[in-house]
Amino acid sequence: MVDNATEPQEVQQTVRRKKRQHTDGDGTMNINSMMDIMTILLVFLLISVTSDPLAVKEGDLLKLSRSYASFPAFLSVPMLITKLEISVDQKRAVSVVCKLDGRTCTEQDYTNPNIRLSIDQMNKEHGKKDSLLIVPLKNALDKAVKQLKDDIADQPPEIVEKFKHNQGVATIICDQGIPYRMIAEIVYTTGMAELNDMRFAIIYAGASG
Amino acid sequence: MAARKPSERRHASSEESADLNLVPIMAIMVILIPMLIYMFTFHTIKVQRVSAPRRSTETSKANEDKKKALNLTVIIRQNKGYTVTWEEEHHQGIQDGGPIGLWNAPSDDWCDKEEGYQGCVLSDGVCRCYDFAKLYNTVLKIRKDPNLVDPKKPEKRINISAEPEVNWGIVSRTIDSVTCMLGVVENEGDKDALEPPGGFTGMEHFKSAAPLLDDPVRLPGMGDKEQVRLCKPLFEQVVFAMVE
Repeated sequence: MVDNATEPQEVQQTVRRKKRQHTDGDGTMNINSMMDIMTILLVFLLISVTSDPLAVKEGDLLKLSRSYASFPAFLSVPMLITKLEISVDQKRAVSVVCKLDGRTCTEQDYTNPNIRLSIDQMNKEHGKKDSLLIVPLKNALDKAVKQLKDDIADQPPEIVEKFKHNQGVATIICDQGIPYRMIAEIVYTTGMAELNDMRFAIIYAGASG
Repeated sequence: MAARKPSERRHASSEESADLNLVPIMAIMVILIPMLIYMFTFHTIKVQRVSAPRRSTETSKANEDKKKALNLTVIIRQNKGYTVTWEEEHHQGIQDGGPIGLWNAPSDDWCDKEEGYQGCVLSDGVCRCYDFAKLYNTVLKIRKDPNLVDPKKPEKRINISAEPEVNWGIVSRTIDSVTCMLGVVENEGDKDALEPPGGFTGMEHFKSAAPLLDDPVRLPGMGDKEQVRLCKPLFEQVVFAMVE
């Protein structure tokens, strides 16, 4: 009688033991699903980091201005202005000259507020210091405008429609420390490349300032 | 020696592929993903709009018929502050709002590199800020003066000019102060900011300023269901000019 009562318990224990052995297997973990998640995440991050021109990483060479402006950024010709160089559509167009007390800046100087940033006069129209036209930048912008027009032509109608409303727009991603003289030169040059609507990228600060 | 059956061969190959060691690949991924997340920006990027200066092509007769333009101009002086000028219909020459000097910050925290207020500069050991509060009050007064700005068809354009050394951070904050109507969020639970009666009392008050938002609009180029709330405009069209 006692044997009969304990029998189902023993059977249950044996089943449990067998189940445990089956799941433990040879001690290795099944990481295939984990790999899938990781691969999707990796691809998503790689695309986001490399393709969006507005996904900028702030550092000593580039710190965006904080602003209350809430106008959204649209598809347009992107221009990046750091303390080191000006790039158009992620391609270097012209380098920025940095001086501190008459000498060329070293890597550590870029955090110093007394540095003087400018464009070499050799890169300006007729090599004149007072000229507002930056020749290599103008050439790069002309090329980028043409490229954007060609790229858009092959896109679906809704993207073509979006582009039509934003023709002549340049998005300027500019470091806080760039002097007004350089900004004026860039604005003038951009205007000369048929981009009359300039939009300066900022980080939306709301009320935090 | 007997040959293997086809079914056995199939089994053998599937066992081999199951043995693929994914641990080193996982290790690379574990390093790569945090690195990419670190590179990824989580800020909201918006834009400030600026127009390139344009030359008028209208005839002189057409200009005579039109009302004289306000030609409101803000000049930013390096380490000195602002000058606001405009033109009036019944007055000769350029009107001047008087200089708006720099404001002495109560502590150096305002000039801190990371946590400081954009537009404050440390010069000769003293932290001083461009007085955005006074500038905003001055421009708002002009905007609300019916003798200067027609309430039915308000002037949109404002010229901004600066000395060559003034940096973009200061210019950008100046654009903020003259293009948007600003207010203060009184309570934490409030969604929208409210306009302070009589303007901002000073920079400490202005530090908590937030834009007064307009009704949602769909901008050209936006999707059918997309909408955005822009700020209530003060002088929304910014044009850059150079100081000689």
